[in-house]
Amino acid sequence: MPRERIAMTPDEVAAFLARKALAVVGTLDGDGAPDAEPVQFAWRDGAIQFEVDADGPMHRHLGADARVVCSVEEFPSYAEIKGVAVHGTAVATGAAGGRVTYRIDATRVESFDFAKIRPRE
Amino acid sequence: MIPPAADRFLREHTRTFLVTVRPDGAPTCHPMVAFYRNGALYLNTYRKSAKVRNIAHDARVACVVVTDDGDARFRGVVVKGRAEVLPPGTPFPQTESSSDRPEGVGTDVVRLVQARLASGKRVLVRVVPDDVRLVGEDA
Repeated sequence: MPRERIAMTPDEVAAFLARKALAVVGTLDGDGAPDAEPVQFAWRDGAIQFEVDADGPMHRHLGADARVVCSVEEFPSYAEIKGVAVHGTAVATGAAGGRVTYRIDATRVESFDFAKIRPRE
Repeated sequence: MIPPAADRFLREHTRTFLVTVRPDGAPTCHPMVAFYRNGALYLNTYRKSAKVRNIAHDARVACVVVTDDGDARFRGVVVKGRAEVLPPGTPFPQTESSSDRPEGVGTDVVRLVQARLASGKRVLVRVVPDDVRLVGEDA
């Protein structure tokens, strides 16, 4: 099943992200190896915003290489799996209470919705 | 050495996000199912998938294994390690019992995956941990 046939529309992506709160953010460590952590996120003004600890590994990674991926998924059953991956650059927008807020400036958005799979005729 | 709490968590959860490095060096993420067996994570995917291409280019990966959406206590384990694509036809370890099926995945899907593994259309990926850390409420 080609992925583009089960992709969400931009409106579906926005609606999905607006009702979700948990994502996994992937970054690169100092050696260029992937690292990741779950984060709480918000979908605001058409962009993903998330917070990380100011003294944690994700903030260090993003300071050295801002390339990021943010993956949001739900799996109520196999036939209903949905997911969105936002690729882009993380931009620090503020810091307070030992936490740093980032916004993702997206360069590419991938999505899939298994409910769109139709049996072959 | 995998912390005992992480070892226990990995035995009980399969919902996984696999992060690989694309050929251009940027990270990418794939929601998947992973089974923890003999100290390693096992995932399966299409042999011609982007994940397999990425791993062939750079075997370093990170896996985040997390609780389900409905779990009131969010917990997870981050596993960093190296991924190895096992030879086509390698059987999935212990997929006969229902306990090896993630919730919401029917026996029809399991049989289809097993058939595609046997034919080589899908392959197993094994991730041997180098570094493991707990995240969420157990951290």
